[in-house]
Amino acid sequence: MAHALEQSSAPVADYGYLEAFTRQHRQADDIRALFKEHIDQTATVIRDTSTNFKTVAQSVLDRCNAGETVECDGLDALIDGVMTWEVALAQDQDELARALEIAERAAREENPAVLPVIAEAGRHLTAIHADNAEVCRDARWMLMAVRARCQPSAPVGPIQGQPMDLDAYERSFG
Amino acid sequence: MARWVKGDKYDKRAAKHLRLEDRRRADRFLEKLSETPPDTALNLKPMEGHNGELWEMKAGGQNRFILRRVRDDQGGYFVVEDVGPHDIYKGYNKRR
Repeated sequence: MAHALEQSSAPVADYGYLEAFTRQHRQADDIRALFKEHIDQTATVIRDTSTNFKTVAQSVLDRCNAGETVECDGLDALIDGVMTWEVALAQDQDELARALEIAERAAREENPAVLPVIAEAGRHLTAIHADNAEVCRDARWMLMAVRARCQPSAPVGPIQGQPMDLDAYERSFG
Repeated sequence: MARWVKGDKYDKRAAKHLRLEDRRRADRFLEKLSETPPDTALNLKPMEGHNGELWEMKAGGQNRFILRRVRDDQGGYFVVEDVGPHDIYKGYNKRR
């Protein structure tokens, strides 16, 4: 299994443009257009990576469900890769929050008309983070499930608890 | 209550995904599986798309277990396969 999707912990994006454009004393519409260009670039990077993980995870699950052999040795690295990307996204969200605060401070000092534009950019970028973080979480969870089926553990130690009718319990879910 | 046992790969997988305090809390949730009928607090349920072979259950905080259902002469029980963060994006949009 290829591991091209493994990610480094390099920053996802640089949000310094939020402050830089705010301090250029342009009209709000001009700044909105400049922000949009950068936001679109960030969205493309985030969506492409997250979609790749989702596609790979779905493919692995489909092969597992079809009874095909899944090369389990690569699952650990793939799961680690998704996790690394999720951490990078969370760190990027924190970076974004800091950049937005700095930009808002700059706008209050020099260009208050831009404040709504900054808020709008913040909402847009936060939504991109949230949507793609969930995509990655679902992909990781899918891969973890496949690993549990392809690389089942052997029981260790005595069985705990008391017998329970799991068939009846499962039926209760309809 | 239900029967369960940790799998031999569980500790390694858990150590990768959870901090020590979270692993300890996860152990306490497993104890609840022994001691009480499954209720909404554990949210024990079959995982969708795995034909009843895999189940999931809360592991404390944002974490969940993956359990594999097996059988012996006393009926079904769970092998604890994995644990990891799951409910981590609730309220994500509220961070700002």
